Amino acid sequence: MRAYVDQELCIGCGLCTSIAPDVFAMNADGKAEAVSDTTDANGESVKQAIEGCPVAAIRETE
Amino acid sequence: MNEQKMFCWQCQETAGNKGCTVCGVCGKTADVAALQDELVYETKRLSQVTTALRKDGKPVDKDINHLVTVNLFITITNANFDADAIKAAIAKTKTMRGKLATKDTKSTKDMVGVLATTDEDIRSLRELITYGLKGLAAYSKHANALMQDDEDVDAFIQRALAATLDDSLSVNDLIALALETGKFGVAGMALLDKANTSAYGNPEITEVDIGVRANPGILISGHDLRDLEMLLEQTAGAGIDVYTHSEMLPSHYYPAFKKYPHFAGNYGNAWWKQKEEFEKFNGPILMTTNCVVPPAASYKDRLWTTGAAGFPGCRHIDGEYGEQKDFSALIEQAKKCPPPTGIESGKIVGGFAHEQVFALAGKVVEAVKSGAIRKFVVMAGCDGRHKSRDYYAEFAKALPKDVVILTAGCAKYKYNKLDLGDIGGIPRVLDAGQCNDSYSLALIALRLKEVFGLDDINKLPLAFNIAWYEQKAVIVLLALLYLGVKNIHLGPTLPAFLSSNVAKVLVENFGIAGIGSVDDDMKLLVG
Repeated sequence: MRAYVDQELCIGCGLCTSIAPDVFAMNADGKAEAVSDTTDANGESVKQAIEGCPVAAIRETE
Repeated sequence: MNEQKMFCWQCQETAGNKGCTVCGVCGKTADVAALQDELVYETKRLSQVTTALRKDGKPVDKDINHLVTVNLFITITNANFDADAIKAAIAKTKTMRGKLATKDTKSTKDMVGVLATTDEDIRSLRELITYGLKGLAAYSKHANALMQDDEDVDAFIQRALAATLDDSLSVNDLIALALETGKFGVAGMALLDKANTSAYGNPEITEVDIGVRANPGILISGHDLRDLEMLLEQTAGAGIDVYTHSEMLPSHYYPAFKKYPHFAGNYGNAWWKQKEEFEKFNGPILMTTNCVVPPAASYKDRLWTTGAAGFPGCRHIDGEYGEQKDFSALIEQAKKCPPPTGIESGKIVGGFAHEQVFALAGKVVEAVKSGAIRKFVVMAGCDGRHKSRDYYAEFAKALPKDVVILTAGCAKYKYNKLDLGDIGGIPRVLDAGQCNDSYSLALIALRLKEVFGLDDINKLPLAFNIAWYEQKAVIVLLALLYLGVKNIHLGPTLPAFLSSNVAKVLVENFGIAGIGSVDDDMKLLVG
C-alpha cells in the first residue's frame, strides 16, 4: 500500500508530514507527497494523516 | 502557491507553523474563518462601547459580559464550525452595540482579521492578547454557567479587547497589557475553581475506570461540569451509562459526581483521536466546549453540541445559564444504540488539585526533604496530532524515578496510562484536572514556596515543560508569567503568532524556550 497525495488539492499545511514523517515529505512545490510505502508499523499514522487532512487530499492506493 | 483565502495562526498546528491560508488545519473553511474574524472584530467594537460606559461610571449588564465571553469562546480552535451560529452571534453583537452606543465607533472592513495590523510586532502582541482573552473567556463562561461572575474579569476582558483596536498603544503598552492579561488569567481560573469546587466539592484522589460496561452509553466531552451534572440527572435510572472523554475526565475527581451509579468512567484519549474513538463508542457524544474535530459520516448523527460549540448538521442543545437544558432527544437516541466497544481496560488515578495536595503536604514536604523526591516537572497543557509530541511521552518515560510530574489539561494523555509508579505512595503523575486547574498547580507551587521559606517561586525544585495547542494554553502561559515563573519550556513549537521581537522579549525577560531533544532537555530541566 502507498498513500497518494492529490497535488491539486494539497495546501502544503504539513499536517501529514508531522503525523507520519516517515511516509510523507514536502516536495519542491511545497506540497506533501508519500515517499515510502505504508507498512504495519506506520499504518496507524497514515490513517490519522488521511483522516486529519483538512482538504481530504490523501488516499491509499494499492 | 495557493491563493490566500483566509489567515489564521492561533493554534499550534497552523499550516507550516506560519498560518492557515486556504482552510484551517483544524478543518474550518475560509468562510467560517472570515466569520470568526468578523465576530472577534464586532466583539472588540462592542467592548469599546462597554469600556467607555464603565469609564463614565455606568454599569454594564451581565448579559453583555456573557455575550462577549461566548463570542470569544466560539472562535477558539475547534469550538464552532457552524456559519449560521456565528452569523447569529455577529448579528446579536451588532444589535447590542446599537442599543448601547450613543455615537458609533468607526468601522471599516479593513480592520477585520489578523493581517489588518501591518506592523508585525503590534500584530503579534494584539493576537497574543486576543488569544489569551479567548482562553480567559472560556474559563469565565464555564464559571458563568455555574452562576458565578467576576465583574472585574469581564471589565478587563472588554478593556483589553478594545485596546487591541487602539492604534495609539505602543509595543511596550501592549507588552504590559499582555502581562496584565495574565493577572486576570489567574483571577479567571480562580473564579472557575471557586465555581467548580463550591458546586461539586474539592477534587479528591480517585481511580477512574477506562473500560466499558454493558449498557448503551453517552459520551460527554469538554469542560462544562454543569452540563455534565444536568446530563447525569436526566439519565438517572434510564439504563444508560455516562462516560467522560478527554478534558471531562477530571470530573470524576469531584465528590458530587460520585453519587451517580451510571457515571461509568472515561472513554478514549485526547481530542485528536476522536474520529476513531467516537466511531467505536456507538452512542451519542455531547461536546460541551471546543475540541470538535469535523466528524466522519459514520457518527455525525450521534455528535451533539451545546454551549459555544457547534458543527453544521450536528444537533445543538440550547439553554441559558440557570436553566435546565433538555437532553431528552440525545437520551432517546442513546437508548437505541449498542453499548460502546471497549478500546482499553484498567484504571487511571487523578484528583490532585490544591486541597487534596495540601492534605498530603506533610508527606510531600518530607519526601522532598529526605531526597526521595528530587524534583517536580509541570507537564501541563494540551495534546495534539503532531508526531513531535511523542517527545512528551518519551520525556515522561525518561524522567529519573525520583521526579514527579504535575499535570493538568489533555497533555496528560501522552503519559497518564504509562505505569510510572510512585514515590512512597505518592504517584509520579499527579493530575490536578482540566487545563484551567493549572491554577491548582500554581497554588501548590506557592504553598511549597511558603513551606520551604523561599522568597522566589523559581527557587523551588520545580521545572516547567508545557505543551500547547490552543488559546486556553495561552492564558495559562500568561498567568504563569504573571506569577513570576521563569524558564518555561514551551512546545512542541513556539507559537507562529510570536514575531521575532516579541519572542525575544519573552526569552530575555522570562527565559521562555522551545523544546530540544529529550536528552538535552532532561539535562536542562532535571540536571
